[in-house]
Amino acid sequence: MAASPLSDDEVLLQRYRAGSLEAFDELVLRHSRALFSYIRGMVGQQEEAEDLFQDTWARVIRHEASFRGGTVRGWIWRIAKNAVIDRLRRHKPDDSLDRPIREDGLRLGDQIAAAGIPVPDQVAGADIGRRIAACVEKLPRAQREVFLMRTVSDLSFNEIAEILAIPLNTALGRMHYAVVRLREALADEWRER
Amino acid sequence: MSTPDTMDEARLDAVAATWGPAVKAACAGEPSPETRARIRALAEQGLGTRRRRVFFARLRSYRVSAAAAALICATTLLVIRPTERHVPAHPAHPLAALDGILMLAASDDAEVASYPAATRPTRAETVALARRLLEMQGFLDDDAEDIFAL
Repeated sequence: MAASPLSDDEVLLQRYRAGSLEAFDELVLRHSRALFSYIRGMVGQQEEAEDLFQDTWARVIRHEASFRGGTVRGWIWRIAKNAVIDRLRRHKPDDSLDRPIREDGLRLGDQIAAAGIPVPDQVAGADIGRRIAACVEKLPRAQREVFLMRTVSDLSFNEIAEILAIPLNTALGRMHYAVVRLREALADEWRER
Repeated sequence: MSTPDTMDEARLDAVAATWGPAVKAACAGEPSPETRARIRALAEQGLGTRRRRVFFARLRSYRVSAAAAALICATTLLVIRPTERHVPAHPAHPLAALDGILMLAASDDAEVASYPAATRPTRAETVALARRLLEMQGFLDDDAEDIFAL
């Protein structure tokens, strides 16, 4: 039987193993936004997300020889998930989106909602963005994990189940409950089209 | 266990597709250039570590041959190394010295005809010379006397 063709990620990882730094840069760039958004959604703070993002790639570099099966993307997200869990276990979050970070009353949630949105939308949707971020942050960790992986990182439910080492139905169930909670929390501001 | 229709994968996919853009807008972000630079530096270090690991892994596969070669080289060097000639601090064995004197005495019998008559030693002179040499070296003993008596 012919071997299955390598995915782009696997090709990049092999090129890195062969000594190409550019290949690694490209791998980081490909997953940068989706991975960072997932991590930040999990920990809620930009600075901590930066640390964890770096830690994730450091682990990828350190353990690149251990990648053998599955998809590179799933492997990277599994590493990120473990890094996030390690961090959350070490210290429970002591911050809140409602905490004022400036004397004029600007809250942490305002900052989080503002990142990555074009300016006109940011003005119009600042409030809804803040509400969504706050509601996502309040989801139980297991539900938040699945919800962010599916919506922000665009992973399939099969990939999510594999990364989290849970049955597919469990992943679907967590997503379902996350959506129910968010619908309830955001009923007034935001409705599905 | 019954599966409610809301848990249907396709339905949840559709929900994710609908909510995705708004959630991304609310939660998405990018790492800073400094973080990217640090990751690049880590990747560079990782490459160096990987190269060293590969080198030592290759070296390990040759370690039996290398050890055998080293052992052979060391043994060869020990065997062929130049040593200083042993110079005894004490006089030669009396019998060795006696051999030399006897050879000198025997030379008296060899080709004496070719010697000029004036320089030709007599047997008595040769024996006397040998006896004197042995005496000077302290080797004149009963054995030597026996030999001279032959």
